[in-house]
Amino acid sequence: MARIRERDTLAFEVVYDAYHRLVYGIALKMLGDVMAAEDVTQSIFLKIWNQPDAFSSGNFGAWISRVARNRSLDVLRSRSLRGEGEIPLDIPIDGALDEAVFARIDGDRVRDALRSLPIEQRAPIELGFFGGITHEEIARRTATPLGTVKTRIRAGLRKLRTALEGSTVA
Amino acid sequence: MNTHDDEHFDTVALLALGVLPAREAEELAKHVAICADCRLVYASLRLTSDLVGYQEEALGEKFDEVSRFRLKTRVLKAIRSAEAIEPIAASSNGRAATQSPEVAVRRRYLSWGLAFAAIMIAAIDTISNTSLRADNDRLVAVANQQASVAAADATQARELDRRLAELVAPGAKRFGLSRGEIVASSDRMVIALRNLPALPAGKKYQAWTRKRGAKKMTPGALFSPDAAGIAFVDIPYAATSIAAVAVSVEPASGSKAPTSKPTFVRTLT
Repeated sequence: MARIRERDTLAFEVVYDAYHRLVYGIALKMLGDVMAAEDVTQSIFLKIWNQPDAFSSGNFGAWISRVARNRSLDVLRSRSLRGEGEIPLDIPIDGALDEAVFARIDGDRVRDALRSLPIEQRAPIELGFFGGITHEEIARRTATPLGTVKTRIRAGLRKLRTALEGSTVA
Repeated sequence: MNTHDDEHFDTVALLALGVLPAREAEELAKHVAICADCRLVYASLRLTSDLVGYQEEALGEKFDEVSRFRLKTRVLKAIRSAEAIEPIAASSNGRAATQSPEVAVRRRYLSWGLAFAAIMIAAIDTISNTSLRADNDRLVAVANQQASVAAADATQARELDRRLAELVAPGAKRFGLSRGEIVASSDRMVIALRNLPALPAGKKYQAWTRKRGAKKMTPGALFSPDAAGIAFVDIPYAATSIAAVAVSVEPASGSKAPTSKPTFVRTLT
């Protein structure tokens, strides 16, 4: 990122090549539209080029994943009133150790880790992340009591974390 | 020791996943920012939540080579457009900087007397006009240069669109490469390559084909990748008549037979 701040286009290409599939994949899943997914991908990488300081520190993959989800939510909102939930970008967190543990994460590991979750935990997490809906809507759609949805999401995220740590260490 | 119950931390998990309604999320985010226990839980679960996105990392058929080429070209073009604006802005700033001292000089000289000032103003105007003309000429040159770059870009974009239309034609057959793919239509093929390193002066990439039943490679087009490392190479033969395609680095004038280890050799079976 330091080289991108110095307007190094080759450094930008390295970042683009490494993360464009992630950004595009999230946008495509959430928007269900190739053209819209391409637009979101372009807008995010343009933002990285024009405002490299938007990313300060931590796990770049996690950050860009969050940005892709939030940007896709913006598009969903512009289409309708759907998609209220958003992952805040500005709560200060100290996760340096976590960032290091997950520095080499990839799609296969995440897919394997998610598959290891019980479906009742995995489903609300995926629905929440990619569906851009609130926990209340998740409860309604899955016909599950609100409190149960909350408990399952937290338990699922904790189990997912454990599974990812295991796969990273292995 | 935790100051909150499990239900509260369940809600923090919802914040981390981004599924809380906006107002509730805003209030809880304020609390998390100042509560050490909640921040710890939030930090751990937010990173995990963010990584869920990796599940949809687009690979293989979901995001094919052609689409990826097209999108990368589009993004890099947008980046270059953003860069191209800068010379004009810099030139404009330069002009403002040269005018300012002249204005200051003009004001000082006015105080010496009307007649003398008139002569000085005339002189300064001449200098100023000359300077403005030079600035104007420079701006026009920059604008012309950018217009010609834009025209070249547009031509390149049209050519790329034409080739992509051929590439995605129904029935096109594809042969994967580590750095791209070969797409074959009924009477011709296109090698689409990415991440090709730029070559030193005097060197070019050269395409080669080996016809079915032939023992030697036939020399094909010489080419260089664009600034993004992308190249499209036409091969005017049907895939059915070709047994293998290769690319190697050759002298810029081309070779009759490969003189270096091929970048790749792809048999078409």
